[in-house]
Amino acid sequence: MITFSHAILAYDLALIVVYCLDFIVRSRRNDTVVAKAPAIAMLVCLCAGTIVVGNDRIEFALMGLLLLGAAAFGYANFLAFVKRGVTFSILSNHTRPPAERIPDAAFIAIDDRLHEMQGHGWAEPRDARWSLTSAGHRIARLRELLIRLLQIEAVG
Amino acid sequence: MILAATLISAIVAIVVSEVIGHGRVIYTRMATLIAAYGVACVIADSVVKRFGGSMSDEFVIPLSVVPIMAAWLGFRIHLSNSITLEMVTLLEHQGPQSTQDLVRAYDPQKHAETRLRILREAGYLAGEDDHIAPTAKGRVVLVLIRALCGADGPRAVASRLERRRGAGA
Repeated sequence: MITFSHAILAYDLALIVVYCLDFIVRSRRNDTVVAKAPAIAMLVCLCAGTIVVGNDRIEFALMGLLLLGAAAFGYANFLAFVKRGVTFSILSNHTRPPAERIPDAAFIAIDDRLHEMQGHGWAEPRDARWSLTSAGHRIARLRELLIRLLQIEAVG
Repeated sequence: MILAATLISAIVAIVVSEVIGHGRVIYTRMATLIAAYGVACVIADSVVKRFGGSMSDEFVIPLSVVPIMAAWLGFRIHLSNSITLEMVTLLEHQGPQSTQDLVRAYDPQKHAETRLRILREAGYLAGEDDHIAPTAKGRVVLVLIRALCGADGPRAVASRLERRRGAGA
């Protein structure tokens, strides 16, 4: 049996090691942004941890779920930024001499974004025009609300 | 208590960095975010210690706040920078559009220039030809790009461009 804080410390370190290993061994070499394997591995660790922790089992389970959810979400966004990010692509483009660069606007692939919206069920083509679905309207309103609330500079 | 201290530290760090950052794009003010994280964790650690927390509790809080901050970072970048979300907003405001009308309304050239401007203002690009700045920050960016993306830049973008070149040939 180990104490709660030692168990959380071990779980935190395991999260960092597992996600770093996943990036080095698997995710760096493919095009996907959702990595299920490390999340499943850490869920197994969480279940095992809940058994071996000596005190505050419920707090351990809640904390483990919070950390795992946050890590999985943060990692998916990190992979999206590193593999599909337009800003990172522009930066990467500018590591080359000017004559070898691609025009920066080429990184913004509107067709892919339209298909992504369709894939998420946010928009659909109707009579050769793109229309928002009810889910798309909800997402648009939610984004606008968050941007207004947090007073964010939208770069889009 | 550790769960509450972790959550409060993360929320304080996020709120403080947002207030100081005035809504600017988050990757242009990473130092503020890291400083806010550090201060929030130091305060949380001192409170936990005062209420009888152990030595390991003092390591647990800063370490546990990291995934939460990473999730916030991802969410925040997505919210401000996502092209897909920007196009959803365009459709919400302008109603149904053809692909050509959407391209015209979105204006990829203007958006690419906006991103360039932000990268310049943040000190990532410098000089007349917008090269990576020859500073410590620039060197870190170069190392990061090579380590995370490889020689061709972001993998999915590079393979999409490659496919387009193949289809166009």
